[in-house]
Amino acid sequence: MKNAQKPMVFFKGTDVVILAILLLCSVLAGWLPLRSKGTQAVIAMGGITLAVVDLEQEQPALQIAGAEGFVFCVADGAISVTEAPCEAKICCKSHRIDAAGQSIVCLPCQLTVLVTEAHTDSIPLPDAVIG
Amino acid sequence: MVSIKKKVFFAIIFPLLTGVLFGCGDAQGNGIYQQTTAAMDTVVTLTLDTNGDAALMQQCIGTLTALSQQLDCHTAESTVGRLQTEGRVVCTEDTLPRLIRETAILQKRFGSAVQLSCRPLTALWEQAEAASALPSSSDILAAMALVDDTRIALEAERILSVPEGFGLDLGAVAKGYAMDVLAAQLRESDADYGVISASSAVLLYGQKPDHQPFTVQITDPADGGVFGTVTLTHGSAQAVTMIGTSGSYARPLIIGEREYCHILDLQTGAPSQSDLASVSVFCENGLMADFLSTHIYLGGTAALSQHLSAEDYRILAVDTAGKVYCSEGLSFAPAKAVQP
Repeated sequence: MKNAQKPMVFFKGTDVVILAILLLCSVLAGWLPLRSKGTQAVIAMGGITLAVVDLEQEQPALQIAGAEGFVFCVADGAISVTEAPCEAKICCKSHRIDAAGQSIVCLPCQLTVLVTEAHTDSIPLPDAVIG
Repeated sequence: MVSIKKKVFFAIIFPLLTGVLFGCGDAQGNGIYQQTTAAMDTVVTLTLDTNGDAALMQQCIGTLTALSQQLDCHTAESTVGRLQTEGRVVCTEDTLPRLIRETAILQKRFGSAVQLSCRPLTALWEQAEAASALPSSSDILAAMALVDDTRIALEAERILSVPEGFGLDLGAVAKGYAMDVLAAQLRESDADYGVISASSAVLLYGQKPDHQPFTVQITDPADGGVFGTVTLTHGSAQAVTMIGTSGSYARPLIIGEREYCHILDLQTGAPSQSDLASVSVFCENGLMADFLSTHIYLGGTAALSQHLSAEDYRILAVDTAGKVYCSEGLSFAPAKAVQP
């Protein structure tokens, strides 16, 4: 009886959420131009937008309702995650982001931060960004 | 069994769903399609003028998915994972044997600062990060003793074996190699133009529809912003430029309160303390660009001159003081005032 058989569960609720987040990131990344300078960051949890943050407004320790445990830093037109409630804290290791299409994702907490900006024709987009 | 089923399901369904979402979309007009997928441990964006070849985008994504599954050292089911646990694998495809053979050719030319068998060392530092404690000197020495690419044996073209305790980590070359495989796929197709971007590895293929030069933004190692733009012109329809970048700023190891470079110096067994902050290599071979960017980064400014004058590749390097080193003939426009 070492390996008592549990009922086979192909999908858990969290799997569906993670898949939805991955798909959302794909959709957003595919829609956006390669990378122009962003002016706002969309912060979402489980695919639900919690806040749209103006990147031009400095906020060194921003906390968002619905994203408890997370602390964001908005400085010099960029956003980063400085504190996270999960153990891995991979999102805190991500570099700060400031270009449209760049994102920071915390899979354990289902949090996404996506920089967006309407592209203006006067600024030519690069074909690729490397680094 | 459930978890394996799940992995298989996700591996199949995710590319398929993203394919449904974007494969039919004309993202940029003029028959140019753009699709984003997760592969090679990063986000990969493909922009292709498929010239009517509707299946090409999915073929390229299928290639990336297959390569990820074979080359990922963190997955026990991958070819690389099985080699580490079983010590010997029979490869059904030439992918990994060819990567090893081609890397050996680069090591013969440039030296062994980059080794595929560095997995024992990278695993040690990953464990250190997880435990928030630096590894001991004895553990580092023990791991270094297991890093030696000459001990990777290849028999009958497809049978790979390594001694007990050895393992491969292809992080320094896998994305560049994937770009080579994709370039071959594009050459065999009717595609006129393509840009495939996987963070630190980029493939530029063919000519843009408006015949304008390609522009590639280089990330500023100091703050993650835009450091400058490199402009590249392709003279022929199937011309290829591969770009590989390595830098201290990406994916730092965080142990305790301190950040360490994710690139390990195999001479010391510790995170590199190179005086370079970023190196980008431009050439026609993706594996070479990827390999060289790490190799040159590890060599620091002291070894830069030989690379700046190389004939078959060009480099753009930035040191930790912000000074720029650029090969002659490479068109680089800084985004802000830099030290020449």
